[in-house]
Amino acid sequence: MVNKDYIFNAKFNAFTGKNGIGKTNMLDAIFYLCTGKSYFNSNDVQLIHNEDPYFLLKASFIKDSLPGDEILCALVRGRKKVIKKNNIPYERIVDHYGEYPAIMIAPNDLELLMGGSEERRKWMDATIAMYDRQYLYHLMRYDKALQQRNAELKNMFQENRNNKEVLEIYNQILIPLAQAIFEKRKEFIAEFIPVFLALYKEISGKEEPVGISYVSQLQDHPMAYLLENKFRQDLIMQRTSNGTHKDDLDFSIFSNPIKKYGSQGQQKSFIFSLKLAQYKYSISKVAVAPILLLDDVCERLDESRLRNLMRILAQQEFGQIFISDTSSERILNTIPFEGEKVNIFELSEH
Amino acid sequence: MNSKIVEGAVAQFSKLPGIGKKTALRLVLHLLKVDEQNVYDFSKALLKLKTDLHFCSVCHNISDETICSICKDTGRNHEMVCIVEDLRDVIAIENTNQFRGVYHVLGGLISPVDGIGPEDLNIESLFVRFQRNEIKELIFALAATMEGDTTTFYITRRLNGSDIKASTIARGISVGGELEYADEITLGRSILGRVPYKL
Repeated sequence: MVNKDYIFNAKFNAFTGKNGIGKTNMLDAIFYLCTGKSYFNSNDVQLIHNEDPYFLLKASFIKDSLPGDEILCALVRGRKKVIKKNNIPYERIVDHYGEYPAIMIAPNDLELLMGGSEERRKWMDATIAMYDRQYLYHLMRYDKALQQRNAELKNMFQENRNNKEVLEIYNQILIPLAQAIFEKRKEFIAEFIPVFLALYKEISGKEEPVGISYVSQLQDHPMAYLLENKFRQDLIMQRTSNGTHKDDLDFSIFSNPIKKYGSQGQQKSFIFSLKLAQYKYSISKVAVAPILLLDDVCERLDESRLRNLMRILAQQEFGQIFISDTSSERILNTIPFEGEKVNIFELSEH
Repeated sequence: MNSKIVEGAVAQFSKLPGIGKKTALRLVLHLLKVDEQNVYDFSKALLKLKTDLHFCSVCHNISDETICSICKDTGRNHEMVCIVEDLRDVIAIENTNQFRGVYHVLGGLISPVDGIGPEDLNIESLFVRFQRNEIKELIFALAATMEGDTTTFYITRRLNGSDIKASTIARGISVGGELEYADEITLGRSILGRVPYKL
């Protein structure tokens, strides 16, 4: 088993070293301690190193220069994962989410632009849930009720039954939840857009018209109407075809979908702006500035964009930053931070 | 294994909830060691569960006779009915010594995902009890889950228009619990469902 301890700088930290040495893994470990899950892998067992029997992460957080909480995350093969705050285990892991906000910027973020609508909903939900526990609760309840409604549709279809008594109950549960989720998302996007636009301009250094718009079936009709009117269709498909679980975000450049019309450079600027805006927006909502984790950014940005990004990161409001790169030299050359504000950890095999 | 008889017994034991192959073998080996009379008594007790045990024809609680001891008890308030999911809940509530009404055991909760609809539960017999005007007040003591809520919702909906008093058990801070350790949802519900303080 490998065991490592690190003391980090309050402002800027870099992990450097060869490919495959474990830089991303370090960032993910920090993300895990903050949020209770991996950014890259939803299967916790796969996070255990090779044949080791368990993994264990421990962190002492520091808030406003004062000792904060001790967080411990552990998973032993074949058991349930445990997260403890100051030695007291959480009854529900989800309660840890939002305690220590963290935002990761990583190569697979491009999926947000290129992938299906689920990616964008997940991103939007993770952002809102970071500061709004009630929203997270609504989402979980909505998912549960949706599953039950779909199962009931399936049962009705297979039994050729027309009695809607039970289905009605799930409608009654879903209607207020969908409405609450819709309102929250709408409010979030409206507040988020100006933050995003300002950052896009700063990173790309260009005046390109980019846009984000929130798309929901609830914009045209209330949830009650959708469930009632699409009942026949739902019954045949044996699932609920309308609701906030179909919401999406439209990302555009010059009024065209960025997925198809954006150049690679524009797409990268878009995604970096989106994630940094998520960071800035979160600061306005939570008491602690989130921890920012940047995986392999230097490789992915050209020099002018990289310099613009670093200039933004140097602003006062950004909290603690962790970055990974293959070259210590490049980090030292591009970062606008002074000596005592930087710690570089050169990772090696031993 | 070189005995088909032992193998068969192990297979039967390992069908029980929480019993794996190893535990099953341990139990079987234990039974091989004890007196024949003990094993006979053991199997008789098991058989009696199926041959002699009844479910109360009124409330569906388990009973040695057609009507259970709780439903027979004239000292209890038969107009006040507590609705529970299963037998374990009856035992839990009886242990509190706080309830002097009678019960109605549903035998499960509505959950389409698990293929359980209202017709699979003891709901019709509850309505028979209503129609006989036996019930004045209902107390829902079901799990604080979506399945529990759905079942409460379903029954109260069908009661709509009647003058039966219906309530659910309180949900919130546990006795001796500290507020700071309660999750937001529970605490929020406790505030919404606050109770008047009387001196």
